[in-house]
Amino acid sequence: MSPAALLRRFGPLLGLLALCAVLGTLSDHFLTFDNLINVFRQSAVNALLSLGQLVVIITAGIDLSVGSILGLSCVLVALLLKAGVPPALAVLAALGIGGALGSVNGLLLTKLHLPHPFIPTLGMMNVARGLALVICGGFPISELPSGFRFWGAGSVGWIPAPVIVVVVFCVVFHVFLTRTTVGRDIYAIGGNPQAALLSGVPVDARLILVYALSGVTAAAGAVVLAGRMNSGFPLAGMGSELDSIAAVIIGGASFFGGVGTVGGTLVGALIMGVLRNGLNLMNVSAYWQTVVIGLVIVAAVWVDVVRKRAGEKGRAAGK
Amino acid sequence: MNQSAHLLELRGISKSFSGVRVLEEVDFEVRAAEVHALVGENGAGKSTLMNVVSGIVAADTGQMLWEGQPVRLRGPREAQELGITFVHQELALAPQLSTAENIFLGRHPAGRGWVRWREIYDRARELLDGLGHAIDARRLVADLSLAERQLVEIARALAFRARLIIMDEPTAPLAERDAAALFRTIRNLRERGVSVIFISHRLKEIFQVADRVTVLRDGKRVLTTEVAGASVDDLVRAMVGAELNDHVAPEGVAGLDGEEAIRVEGPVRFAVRRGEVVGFAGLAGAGRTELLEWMFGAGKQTGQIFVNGRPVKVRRPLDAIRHGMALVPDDRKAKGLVLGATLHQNIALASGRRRWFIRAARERQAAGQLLVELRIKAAGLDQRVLYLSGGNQQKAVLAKWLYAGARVFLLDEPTRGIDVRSKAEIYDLVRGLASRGAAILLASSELEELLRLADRIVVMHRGRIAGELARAEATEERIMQLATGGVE
Amino acid sequence: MALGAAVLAAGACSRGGTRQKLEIVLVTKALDSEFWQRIKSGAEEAARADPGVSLAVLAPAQEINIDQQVSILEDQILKRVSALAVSPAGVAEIVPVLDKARAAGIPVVIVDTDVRWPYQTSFVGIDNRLGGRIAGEYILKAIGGKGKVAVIRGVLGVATQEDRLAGFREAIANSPGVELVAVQPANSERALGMQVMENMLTSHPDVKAVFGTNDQMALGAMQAIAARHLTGKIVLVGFDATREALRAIEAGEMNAVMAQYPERIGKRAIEEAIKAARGQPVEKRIDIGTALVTKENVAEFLR
Repeated sequence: MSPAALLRRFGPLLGLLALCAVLGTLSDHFLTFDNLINVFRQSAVNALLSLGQLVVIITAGIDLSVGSILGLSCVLVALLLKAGVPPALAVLAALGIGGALGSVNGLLLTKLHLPHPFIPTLGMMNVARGLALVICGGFPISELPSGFRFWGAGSVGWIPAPVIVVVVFCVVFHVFLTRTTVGRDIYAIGGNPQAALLSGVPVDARLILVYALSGVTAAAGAVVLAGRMNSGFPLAGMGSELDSIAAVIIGGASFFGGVGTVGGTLVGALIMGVLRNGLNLMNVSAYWQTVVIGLVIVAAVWVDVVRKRAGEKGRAAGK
Repeated sequence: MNQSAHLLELRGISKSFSGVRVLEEVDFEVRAAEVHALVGENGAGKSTLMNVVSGIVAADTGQMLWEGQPVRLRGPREAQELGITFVHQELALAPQLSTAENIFLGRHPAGRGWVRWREIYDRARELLDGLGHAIDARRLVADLSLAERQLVEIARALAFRARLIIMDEPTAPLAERDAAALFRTIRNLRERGVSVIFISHRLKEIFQVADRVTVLRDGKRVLTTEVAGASVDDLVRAMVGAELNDHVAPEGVAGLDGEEAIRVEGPVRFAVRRGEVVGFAGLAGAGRTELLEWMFGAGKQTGQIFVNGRPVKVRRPLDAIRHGMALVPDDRKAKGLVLGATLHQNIALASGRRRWFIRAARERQAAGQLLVELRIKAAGLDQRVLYLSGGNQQKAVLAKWLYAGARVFLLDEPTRGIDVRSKAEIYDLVRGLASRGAAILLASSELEELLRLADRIVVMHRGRIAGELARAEATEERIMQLATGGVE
Repeated sequence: MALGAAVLAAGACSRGGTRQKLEIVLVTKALDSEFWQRIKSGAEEAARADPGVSLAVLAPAQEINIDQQVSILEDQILKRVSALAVSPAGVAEIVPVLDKARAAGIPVVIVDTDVRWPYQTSFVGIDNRLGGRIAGEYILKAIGGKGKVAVIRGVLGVATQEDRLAGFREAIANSPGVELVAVQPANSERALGMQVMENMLTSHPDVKAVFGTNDQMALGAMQAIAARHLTGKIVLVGFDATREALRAIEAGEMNAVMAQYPERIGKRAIEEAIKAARGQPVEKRIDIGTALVTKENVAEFLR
């Protein structure tokens, strides 16, 4: 592979490694085993949400409701657990609810012919968050059974359970996107929805699926977060939709659709987790952290634009 | 008539776009208070010539005279100030504003910054009445019919004291009654001393309303004559060129006694047999693209489709594909290919409906073979189709359908914008497919192409079939005659 | 209990002995209000007084970002700081992290919001319940023992807020003429407090008194009241005694606040943390004390 193509493929990863190197010099504690494990654990929820967001963004869409679906799922799973439902069932129920909510987004978009997914997901963002608050009256539901908490707070050996969850989801999504026809359809819809339709892709059905997946990953994030926080609190996930979008974009996907990989998204989520962690270790205030993350997003997209333009120029010259 | 009676005169106008000559030494004159029609085949240069007149495009060489004085237009605004207005097919109105506001858009009569509303409405009403139509000046343009909107555009031109109004295919979207009303308006304009240049494909209409007509062919002016005393045949011959009486002898195509592969019934009726190539001719707007897209499940028309003799429901492209149909759309970049994706991905896109998992190795082998068979020049299966030439892109679209195993091919302008060699290769491919039993519907604006490939030619006009010609009896003139609304 | 604390402290001390300076970290719920800023400055004062100590003050962007606080704590524990002073944003969520701190041998002082964690080295704060009660009694007197009252409160489930509300309810419990018509959360944020007050004024236009369980919300409510030209007609009581609230009392726009002395809380919390880090004995509960501030005594608080 040519150096330019290498850079394109592994750009975000190189960025991550460079970032780690820099942080390693700025703080003694950063490159320790315990800390890196912490980083993985702290990035897990965002990584999960970002996988769902990735699939949506590949279709040139956007899902603003993931944070709220996470919050609602968080509350619901806690309620189920408190009512005595066994953890395995509660988790499945939460995933199911997340998927159902996501499908509603997809249905609204396709059946009502809304002009942009911004609209239904914005509506869902408010509705789901409101429902979460209504259902639990604003109070967090705490003290969850340890069998459940395992998913957020437990470990298998030295590997935190959330990391295992993320890895499993990553593998599944990667296979889905690269090895199945449905995955190919999704890229095609993002690349050119009209051509996809005229090639026989059932565009509406695929879009509904994509938003349903985003709901499922949000619910998975809720399970991990509730386990970690030991409570289902209704404000869980506030603002996390933007973090998931940031991770996907930093990872190399394009808002215009048709581009994006699981690997890139995972790296994007890790970059954000690493940044926050590193800045925490350096005792930088939360406000500055937000500024830094914003700058990183813009930088990542700008680098991507420059790369693409350079690539095109090279090709056009050679044509 | 002496020279000074000419309102507009063009001398020796030439124009090229990207090395392609679109207008060549064209002379053109319009008198005052004249309705002058401009006709020619698709691509003859009519639009470009009018763009030069209205200042949208600058000619490479030549001179333009207005009322006897040479002028050099630097943009449409200058043309408007002279009194030249171009009413395009896509009307430039603001739908959310009232009729009167639109008429004076950009030039509200005002004093010291305050708009004089009363004046606007009064003058608008005057203009509209003067044109002989009662449209309430306060109505929102969004509520007006297309014909009424045209009127508003004309009124707008008059409000700017236009002396010359250019109309591009104004009757294309209109019903008969509205067209007649439009002609009345045009005659009204002439009585008021305004000249009109009227571009149209509908030769019969020209005889209804024009004083003179100019024919363009391949960027040159071939004829200008008074309408009275001319015949439709004269015009058609001029449009098509007397030399093109002979056509290429067709190569033998496998037996035309195949079974019926696809049939359409309803307002439009025809059938195509296996191994047959049926050409669809017609002017722009005749409805060929709409027909093909409807057959493929992507349009709205009424009718029933029969595949292999059995009625089928085609509600979406996926249904059509399942019945073995393929559509090569008229715009390959917007509708035929995912430009950002690779050749491999595009070729495999329409297939595999029944499988969940991609069998990459198998796909690549088949796709690679197609690459060779179709002689697609690319840097490999993993090259993005964005970087392929037009001809190779079109071949990629065909490859997609070959891969999907289609048996009925709907081809819409398949060689538009393609280099000569690829064109020939595609012709070979079409013949090859037919000889292997595929049924082919070929819509094309290039009569030569149809004559070369089709066993039969169906001519469409205004969404209906105007007539059908077997290969033996098809000539360019006869096709044109049917296409322009003449009756066989 | 004290023995346990001493053992812990000893453990921390042996760790601290290998370091140049003691690293003390204060993690609050947020830094977006004067209350937290004053705790911070009190803490900094305590740190300045001791040259062998370096202090860092961190917090999430908003009080509701509980998971952010968890991450911050985890990272500090990783750094093996000498001692932690924490204002927990939640109970069930934060306690597991505190357990981790304990496992790492880091003493933890709880500041302002008690969580009743069995292993907390010390609690430095106030008796919020008492504070709520005093506020309630003041309001009772101010409205003459009868009428409608309302409460605007902070994030649900947080001990400080619950205690203040509970104390308030106790105060009005035995007055049948008083009706508590609404208790609405506003997350200790001013803008939300204003919004909530506006809605309350719409649904209960005849409310006679409002208790905001922190000053930010009370100040927001004050603006809502002013917008309807009802300043002075509704008894408004806050909690924290921030300078802005005190000036409002002076100007007659607010009636009273409960003073908390956040600087003292911060200062004392860090002092205890330093002691714990050095293995010295520490008091388990330190009540800094509250006082009712009204127009009569506001001048001395404004000094």
